[in-house]
Amino acid sequence: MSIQEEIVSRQSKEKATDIKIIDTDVHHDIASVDDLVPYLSDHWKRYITDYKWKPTKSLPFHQVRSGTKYRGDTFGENNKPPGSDFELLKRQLLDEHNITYAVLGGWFHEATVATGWYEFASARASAYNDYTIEQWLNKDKRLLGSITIPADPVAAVREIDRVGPHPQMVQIMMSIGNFAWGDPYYHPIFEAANRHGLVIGMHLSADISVQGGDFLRYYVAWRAAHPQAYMTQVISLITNGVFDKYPNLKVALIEGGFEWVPFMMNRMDAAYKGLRQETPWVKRMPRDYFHDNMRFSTQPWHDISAKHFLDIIDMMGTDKTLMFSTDYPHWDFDAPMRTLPPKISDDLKNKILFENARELYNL
Amino acid sequence: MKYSVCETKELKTGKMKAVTIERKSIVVIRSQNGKLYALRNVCPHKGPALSDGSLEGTCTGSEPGEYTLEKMGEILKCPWHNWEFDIKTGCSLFDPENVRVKTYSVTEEEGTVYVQVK
Repeated sequence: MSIQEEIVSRQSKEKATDIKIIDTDVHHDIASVDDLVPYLSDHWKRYITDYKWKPTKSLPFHQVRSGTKYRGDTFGENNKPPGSDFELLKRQLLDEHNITYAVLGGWFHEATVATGWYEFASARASAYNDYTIEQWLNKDKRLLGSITIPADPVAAVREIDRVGPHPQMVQIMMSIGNFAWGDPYYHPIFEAANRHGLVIGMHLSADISVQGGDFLRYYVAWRAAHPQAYMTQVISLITNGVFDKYPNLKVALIEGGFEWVPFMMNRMDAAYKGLRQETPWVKRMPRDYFHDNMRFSTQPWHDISAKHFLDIIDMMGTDKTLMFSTDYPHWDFDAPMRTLPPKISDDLKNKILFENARELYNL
Repeated sequence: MKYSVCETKELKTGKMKAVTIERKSIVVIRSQNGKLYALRNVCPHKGPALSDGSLEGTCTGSEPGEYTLEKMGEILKCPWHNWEFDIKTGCSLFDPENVRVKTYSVTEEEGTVYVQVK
């Protein structure tokens, strides 16, 4: 370590102690599907213990180094998969970065984006939620949970009613796949979120082809296109009147970027002026829903200058929608003290690192 | 000042007529129930003549998929980007308080239609 690095490192540590941080995108995980077995009924258990069921691996990509999509230093003893070891996550994320709260989004989107055999998908989602509660939430009050749901709305609502009352469960994870969540078919899920006072979290899954019905050829291409999938969901929620039906509903768009938000606000506002009669149940200008009903996480940070960042905040028309996230333990991790441009105000830093998420999750 | 714009019989139900008064382009409209309205004939958005657009109704609805057709013949729709204006008030439907076109009072006396400007 050079002297300069040492100084920066010491400053970061000093600063970290008096700054409050909420990490809105953390991936805890199961080490293998065997971790679900204790939480499955005798019927479903057999599919794993006896029939050796494995989740579908839908991504064709492998990353450019060993450890692939994970930070190289997040593997546990005996190569335990990143995010599956509570003690390691606690030390490496919560303690080292002085995290006040971490919102676990999990990494079990497969149960949500599964097409067909929803009975087993529902059982897996329930088992994963019980695993999250018992192996994670119950071990540390700093951890907050997201409810994994099957895409079938009746089963999803049943699961939300079952685990939603847990005091550390703060959101429902609606994984982004190849369907649009705004469709009225899914509205019972929003109704349940509203009833339980839970936030909706949206995070990409391994099942987004984005456009054109096919994956892009390379990981770098697919990753660059992720924000498109979030745009599709936002457009679907607004045009299907989700926020008119549930005005208090809040949606956290996690790992989908935020620089596109001013663009989409303007584009939707302009279209609404002329095309309003096609969706007359949408009562407000689209930008109002971006302000009142949506929040966006910051990772992966794009190394933009303070000036450009502040211009984007200005174009968004609010500084209350951005929330810091690390994406631990994934390779493109953002460290809390080394991400936001140093030149922005302490007030804005506090909003992004802590206050906006505190308000959203009612902490 | 009051200007005669046409004979009563020239402006039939559901039709509109563009006129120029004091170098202002104005559209005079006879609604479905026979009443007369006059508005500035320029869309505040990009400027085309609203008289090249259409007199229509509009839709309201509170649930996705619900369309209730309302105000038949009372909505003037711009020929370019479909902005909708209420012929009675000049107000746009998407932002009635901030986006509107000017309205003028119209009268009908002894077979002639008059528009009051200023």
